Amino acid sequence: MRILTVEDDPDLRSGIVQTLREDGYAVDQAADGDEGLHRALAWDYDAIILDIMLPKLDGHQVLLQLRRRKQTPVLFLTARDTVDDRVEGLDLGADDYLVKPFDLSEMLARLRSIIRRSHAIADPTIQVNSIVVNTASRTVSVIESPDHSISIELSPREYALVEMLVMRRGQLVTRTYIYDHLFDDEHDSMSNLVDVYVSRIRRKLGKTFVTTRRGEGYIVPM
Amino acid sequence: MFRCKSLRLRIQLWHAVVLVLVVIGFSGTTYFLVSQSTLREIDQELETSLKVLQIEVSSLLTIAANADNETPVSSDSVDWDTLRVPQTFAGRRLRYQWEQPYLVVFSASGIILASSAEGFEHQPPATRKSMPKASDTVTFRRDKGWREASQRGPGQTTLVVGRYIGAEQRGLQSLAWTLFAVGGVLLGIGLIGGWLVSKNALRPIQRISDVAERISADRLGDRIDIEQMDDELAGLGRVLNQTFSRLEEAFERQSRFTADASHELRTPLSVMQTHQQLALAKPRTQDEYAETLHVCQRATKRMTQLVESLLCLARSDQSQTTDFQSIDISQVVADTCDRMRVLAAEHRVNLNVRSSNTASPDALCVLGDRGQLCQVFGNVLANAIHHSSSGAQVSVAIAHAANEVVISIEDQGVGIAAEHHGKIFDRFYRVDSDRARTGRGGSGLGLAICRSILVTHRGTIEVRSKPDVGSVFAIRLPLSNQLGPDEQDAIN
Repeated sequence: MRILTVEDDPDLRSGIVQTLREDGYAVDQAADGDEGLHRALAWDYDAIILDIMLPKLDGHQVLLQLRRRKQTPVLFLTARDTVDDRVEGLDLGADDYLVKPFDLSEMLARLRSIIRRSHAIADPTIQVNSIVVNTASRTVSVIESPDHSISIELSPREYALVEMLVMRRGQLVTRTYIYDHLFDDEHDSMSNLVDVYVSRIRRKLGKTFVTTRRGEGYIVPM
Repeated sequence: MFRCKSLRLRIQLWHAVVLVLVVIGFSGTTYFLVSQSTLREIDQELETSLKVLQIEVSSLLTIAANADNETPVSSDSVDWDTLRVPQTFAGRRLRYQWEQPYLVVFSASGIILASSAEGFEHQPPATRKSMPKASDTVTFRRDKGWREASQRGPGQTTLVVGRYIGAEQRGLQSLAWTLFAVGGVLLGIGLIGGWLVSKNALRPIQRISDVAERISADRLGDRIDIEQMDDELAGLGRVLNQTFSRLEEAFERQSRFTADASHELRTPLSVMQTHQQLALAKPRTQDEYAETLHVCQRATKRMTQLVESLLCLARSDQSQTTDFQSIDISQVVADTCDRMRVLAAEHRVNLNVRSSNTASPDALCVLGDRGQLCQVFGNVLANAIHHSSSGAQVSVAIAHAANEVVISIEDQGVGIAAEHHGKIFDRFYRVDSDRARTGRGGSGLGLAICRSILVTHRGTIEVRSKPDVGSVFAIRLPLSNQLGPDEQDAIN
């Protein structure tokens, strides 16, 4: 998943970005409304974390103009906690709302929720054969017998890859897509990183978990 | 004395009193004049008759035996039957005979010598009662419904002429009743009318108090409708509406301030929360822990500054001017500049102070609080220094104009666009480019504090600026030796 964070306070922004990265997300940043809107329109992020009070272009305006063209899930951050502010943000098209100061785990949970909703998946657990992916707890387990499952240890990025493939079950996911949504500009561009990660999850979840379509991408069969 | 508190009741009482006085006065006067004139008419008739009678009796006595007027006359010698009541009363329509005018002649000893009232059903007082005392002038007397005039006649007789004036009396009585009735009706109409009019006139007051009662903290938008009101009450309504508007504005300012203040505090709190949670999420390196602590430090400093500014604003909002003293402004400016030299050096900015060529040193005394004034100059100077680039010049000039002192702080920094000029003194207002600056946690309160302090000191602050050229902040304060005793009292 690739997230855009738009927040003008540099310390807060760095804290949010680091939290997201450590949770397995690829993150892009913007420090004002103009840059935020520009990036949001230029690319299909999986979700956007948007602060309301921004210099240059106000957060409300960013949302308004974004919604004319895209349906990217948006999580609003704000220090204003009156009902009118909450209502206004939601009515303008935000998917959810967080009041500062907020708990990090709550931020991550709400983020997952809006992403899940955008994929029209209500149930947090997705099962592929005997492999159960729990998007709420961000864990993967294998069902050995009806009442016994083994939890599989995955790094945040590995989990991110599994989740991405499983959410698009039955659809072809291109290597470029995986690359763009798994890694952000922090990394050197080594496109075989994708292959590395795919082989890692194959090792952990079985070779049949994901199928390769030579030259095109990967797919988790239905 | 019973003091009536109801305006309406008082108006109506006074109205009633005045109306009653008018009605009584008018009818009373009318009745009095009519009755006086009627009586006078009757009396004149009687007097005229008496004159005629005098002449007739005189001639009678002369005819009878040459007697001189001094000898008392006896009835034998005179033919009294020829006496007739004078014709001045002729032509009157009378119901009864005894309502006719009559004459009676008495001898000196009181014997009736002649009387035309002999056949009357009711005897007049002259014949019934004693003979009226006679004098040489006409004397009138009234007895119930009879009016008589008497005079000494020739030969020591007493001549009496009289009439029953019952009809006239009845006429006057009916006039009195008519006046009473009409007056009563008019009084009634007047009172009712006055009651209705005063009720209508005072109804807007009820409406005003209704609106005022409805208006509370969450309904400050209501206003009194003054369209239909009379001028006097519309004036009151307008003033009240203005008061309500000011109240509403004050409330809005207050809640905006609270919202802004809470917003400003929440972001640094959020920074600390995020970084602390992050640091504790899993084992970190020493450097990472150190960095977290630095971040929290920055946020803490920011919040501390903000809290200080807020307290300062709150203090100056409730400022007590009783501690004001006479202060030498040029000294305060000089001290502030000295303090700021370190900061200026850090930013490699040139700071210089120019004083105008004023006469004596105490020409520049203002009444105020030294600490607060230092803060004002400090804030503006700090702004100037921060917004200037390396090597630029910041100048402070003190000038003396009329009855005020003007301190100008000029910088050659980034300047402020015209659209912000009115707003930079508002609380929490920051020009956008300022907000993007990292590490300079300005809260947007500095200039608001300056303005608030200056308002208490009866001074002003304004800005002239052009983007990329620079800005000049001008602070004006009234000189204390120019304040009249009234103004000095007002400040205290």
